[in-house]
Amino acid sequence: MKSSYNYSLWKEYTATRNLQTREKLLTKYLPLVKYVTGKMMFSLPACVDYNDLLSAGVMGLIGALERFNPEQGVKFETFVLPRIKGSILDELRTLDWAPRSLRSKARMVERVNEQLEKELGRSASNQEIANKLDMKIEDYGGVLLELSKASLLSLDGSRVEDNDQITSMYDLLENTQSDNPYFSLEHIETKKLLIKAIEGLNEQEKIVMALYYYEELTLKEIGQVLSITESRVSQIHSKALDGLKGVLQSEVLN
Amino acid sequence: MNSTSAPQVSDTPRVKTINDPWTRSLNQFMDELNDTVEYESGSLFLFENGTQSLKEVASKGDGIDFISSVSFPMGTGLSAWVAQKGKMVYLSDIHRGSRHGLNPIRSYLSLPLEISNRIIGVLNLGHTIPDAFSNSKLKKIQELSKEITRKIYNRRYLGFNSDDATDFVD
Repeated sequence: MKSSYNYSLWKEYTATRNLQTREKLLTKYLPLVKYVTGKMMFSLPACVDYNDLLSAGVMGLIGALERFNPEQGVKFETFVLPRIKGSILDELRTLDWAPRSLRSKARMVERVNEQLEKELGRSASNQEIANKLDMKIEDYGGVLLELSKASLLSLDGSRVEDNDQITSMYDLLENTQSDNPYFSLEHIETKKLLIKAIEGLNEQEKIVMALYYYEELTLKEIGQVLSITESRVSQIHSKALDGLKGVLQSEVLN
Repeated sequence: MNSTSAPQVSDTPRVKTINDPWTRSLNQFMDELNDTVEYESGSLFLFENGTQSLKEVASKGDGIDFISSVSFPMGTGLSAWVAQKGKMVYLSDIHRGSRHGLNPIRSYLSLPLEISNRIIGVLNLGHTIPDAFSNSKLKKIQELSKEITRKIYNRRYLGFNSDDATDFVD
């Protein structure tokens, strides 16, 4: 009964190309698209949108409806599955900016990595992977760099922290409004080193250097403090700088 | 400046809590000053005979001193240098620390507290607006500073040992 209903639907559609009949067929085979899409989603990164792939799959289904000929004795399911999958893969390629050659490299590295892990019973080192790929370690580093650029992540995605807490990728974004902790720390360390070195200078040099580097006053402003001209401050600064260079170099080396 | 010429009766009591009447009086002076001439951060340093250096005894806001880690004969910071020179420093339009997000001070005043040819302390004031202590305001600050200097001198060096806050704030 079911197959005769299908057959009559197909017969009608092939004969008339009626849009309503096409709609019925489309609705009937839509679960196939969902099935293929869901299956493919498993192996794709979280940043790939399910609905985008579903739409691509539906396009594949529509294309298959146009081309299918029930008289050829092939089941529509058999005919349509590779087309849905192909359509989804085409969509994925358009979403992926990385060239296919790079994807091929990625697969090769992944394959070698897995193979070595099995052989060694542990994670393979970069050197071991490079050897297996018959590459210099520097070239392998270049490949890894290329591959890292090809991995795109969605800001809407989530990530699991070491403590199993799930956070948003937005948390990883740099807040350009706040101070960079590394530079702040570096700034504090530089200040400490400078203060130590500045202590060894004569009084006027000490004030010029400390106000310039520690308080970030301009030479003109420092001139106002010391009641001397800006150019005189500049001279003192240059002289003190020469003295500090030696001290700071030995401090850094230590 | 001769630090040994004036008779010394009592040294600055060691400030431990704000409940100490002496500290309270000095902080009250800072408040009084702020009511008269608005500032955002201020520090009052007094010379301690024990350590032979300046010590911050009262402050308002974050307190303020430049190059506070740098040593001078009369202590650390630019206030110690100002005390040593006995010369007022007024910077009316600076851009301190704007590059690295330090408190962006635009006006900075460091005033030595001098009496009888003797520097007994330094008053530092800072503001985030430029030209905050010019003309009449500076005159007012100098007047009030002269007053507090006299009172501190009387208490510390001449032995008028009142802890009463009103001794400082008329």
